[in-house]
Amino acid sequence: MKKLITLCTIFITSLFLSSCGGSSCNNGAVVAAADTKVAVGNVVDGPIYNAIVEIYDMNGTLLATTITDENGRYSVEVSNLPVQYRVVIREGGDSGVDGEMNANDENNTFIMSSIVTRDDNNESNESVGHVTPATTLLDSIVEDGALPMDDAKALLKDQLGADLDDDLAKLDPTKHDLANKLGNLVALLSKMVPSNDRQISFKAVAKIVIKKKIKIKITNTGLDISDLNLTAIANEAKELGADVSQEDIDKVASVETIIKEQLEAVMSKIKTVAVMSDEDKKEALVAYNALFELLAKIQEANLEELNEEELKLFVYNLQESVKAILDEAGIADIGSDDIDFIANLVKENLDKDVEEYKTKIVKAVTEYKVVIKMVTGDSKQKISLKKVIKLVYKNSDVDALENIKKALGDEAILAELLKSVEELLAQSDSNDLQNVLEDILAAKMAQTIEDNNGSITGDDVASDANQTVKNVELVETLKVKIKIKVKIKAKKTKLSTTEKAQLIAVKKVVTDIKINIKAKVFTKVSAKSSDDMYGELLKELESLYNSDIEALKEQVQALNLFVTNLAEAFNADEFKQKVSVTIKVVQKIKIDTTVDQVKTVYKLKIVVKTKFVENKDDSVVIIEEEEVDEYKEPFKALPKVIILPQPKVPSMTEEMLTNIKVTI
Amino acid sequence: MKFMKIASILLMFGFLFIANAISPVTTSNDNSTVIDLNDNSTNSNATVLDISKGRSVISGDIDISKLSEEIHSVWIVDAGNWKGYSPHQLVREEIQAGYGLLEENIPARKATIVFAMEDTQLEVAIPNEPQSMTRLYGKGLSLHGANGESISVYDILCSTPEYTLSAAIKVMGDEASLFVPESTIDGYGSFMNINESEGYYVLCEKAKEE
Repeated sequence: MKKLITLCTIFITSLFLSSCGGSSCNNGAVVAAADTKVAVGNVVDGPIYNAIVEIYDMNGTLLATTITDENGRYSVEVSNLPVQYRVVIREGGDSGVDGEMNANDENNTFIMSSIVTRDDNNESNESVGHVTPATTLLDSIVEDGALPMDDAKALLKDQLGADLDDDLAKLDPTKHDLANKLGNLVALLSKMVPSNDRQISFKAVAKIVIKKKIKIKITNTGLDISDLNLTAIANEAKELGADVSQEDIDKVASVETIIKEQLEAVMSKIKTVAVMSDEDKKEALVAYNALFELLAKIQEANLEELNEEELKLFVYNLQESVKAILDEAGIADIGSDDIDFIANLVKENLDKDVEEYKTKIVKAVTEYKVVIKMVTGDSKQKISLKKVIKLVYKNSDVDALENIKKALGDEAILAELLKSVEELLAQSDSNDLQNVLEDILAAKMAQTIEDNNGSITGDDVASDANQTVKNVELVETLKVKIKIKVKIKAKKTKLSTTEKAQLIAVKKVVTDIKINIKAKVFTKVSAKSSDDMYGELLKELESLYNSDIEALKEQVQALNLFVTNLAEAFNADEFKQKVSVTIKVVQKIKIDTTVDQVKTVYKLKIVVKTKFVENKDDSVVIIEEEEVDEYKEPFKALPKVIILPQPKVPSMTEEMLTNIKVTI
Repeated sequence: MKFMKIASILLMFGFLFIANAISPVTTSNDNSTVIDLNDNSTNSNATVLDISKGRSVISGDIDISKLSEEIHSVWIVDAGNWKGYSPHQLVREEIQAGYGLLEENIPARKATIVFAMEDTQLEVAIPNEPQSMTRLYGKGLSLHGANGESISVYDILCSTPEYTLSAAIKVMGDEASLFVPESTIDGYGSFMNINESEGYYVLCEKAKEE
């Protein structure tokens, strides 16, 4: 959608240029320009930092571009700034309801805009134009409803109770409570739609305002809802092409009351950043977090399982526990990072007695703050350190989270964790990191093949490789995985048997993928070589039949079929189809440990290489013998584990009963 | 399935070492002289050892009647069998039911595994004139006391021809430290000497052909 809008903008721009013959063109729609002005304003959902800001005239001509600073503020000189202009922003990071940059801030995924009337009366030569979800909604109503600005404003006032006489674009939402509340309400409503496309969700909100299907009054204390049907917004979004399923809409409908209650709770807590105390910020963050945990829970649950009372209890427990823990931990400078972290800990224990875990969590929180303090400083390098740690919490699996929590409770491990994070950051620009990334990427690809039981080909995965490594988010995730890997290595003495096995398996799949990637398309195979191969394979495979290994029969049949087809006649098209079958078969063989033994004994792969594949140009499968050897290496490289013998009697503790293991 | 395979191999290694460890644990000189620590005080230095919670392998003449309440039990290997003693009646009964109950004090040539429930102290006497003994390091894993002498790891020579030292291991408070010839093992402390109040494991394995 973002691309679509950008394209539309370009289209409108080019239309304008082509019809006018250049930027010096003037027509009735373009108001006489003033001298150079500085267009300024705040971009606020939460403050959006590093966002691209574009100033257009009302015909869609791009006049200037800039980016917002860390507080979401922009300032750009524009010569001949028209009396009315449009500010469009996209991308950037959303600071969220606390208004502060945090490591887990979401990327801004939708385009916001504001129609601004130029300031001519002030002496500073500045023209103020703030951009918020509310101004964007107004812009949408003007465009989608084809309404004049004044009518659109009246609609906003009537339907959303925004009793604002001033121009919305002139009201700084960081200072103006009602403008801030309106912006947040619009943003929250768009987030209520169970769709990933927020741009469409936003348009859906505009639609129900235009159709007068909503009636809300924003007050100083919160919301007064007369008419709000969340399913109506979802249905509008669906009609606009959003990825909303009927089941999702039904789910929202079944528990709409509780969602609306929480929406009201959040709105009553939201204040402008300028006047928000630490206590206010904490309450707003907790309520905001609970709302989105609620939505996530609804999305995860089946329709039949949804129970309003249980959801209420969940929200209540989550909110109360997080608040209680924060109070007990005495954390004043609260941020959404902290709330996330604590909420995660609480969520895991929500089905149990939260009180029971409070002390433990308070301790973890306190130590977490120590971690953050240690890695947070003034420099950007330190901030990225913080980000790495947060990514561990956010992106890693449950086991990793458990490890981090353990680390937080143990000074020695904590020090080790920090050290490994620093080491990771130190190598972030080096070739070493690149190598590790490639290794992990390869492992990931191999795992994909294994997870799909050979239903996707090595070719498919390999062809995605280049695209994948350019994925910034994946690279971030990989960095986290590296960190975990580094940490696991550092702590290998404490690994469980399973973890050790996993480490070995990672090495194995890396090797596997190196072989799989080489499984390219065959283009030349002579009938003679097929015959030779057929003869050889039959001999080898007969023994497989005789061995009564049921699991192998299917693979053997597939191989037979393939070889028979080759032997009969070489048909390029047919052959191409069979190639994918072959690759699957090879993959199946590779992932079957029983076959490992067969491979070892008969060196089947080597036969494939020496007998079947004679042409060794780029497009031929080449599985080198040395790689087969390498494939076996992880088993040779098993660490030696010495289990120290000891006596055991019933009164010993569990720890005492566990033999001390030494790995050399 | 692959994990299971790897895990089973690891387990096989584990069993192998357990089997190796139990059977050849050597006791060298099976002298069952009763040691009276009080009467022998002029020929030994009484030392109070700090014992961390968990398992520790120590050595020294130990009066088993003086064990603190924090100690769950102490154990030695005698003629290939575990023998233990505890200051707690219940544990003594368990020891008697499953193993041999120690009825005599422990001599310094034996390694003693102390199971401590909390950090505590244990008094040992280090003999000034240790009993002469031949240190035998058999195949596989064996357990030894320092016998009142400090020794270098380079003095540990496997007794069986073609077998060499793979590792010497000390344990204090469940933490192992290692000596592995010509290697440094990450994650463990290392040592070059065995002090007079320490016990240690020795792993002798057949030398690998180059």
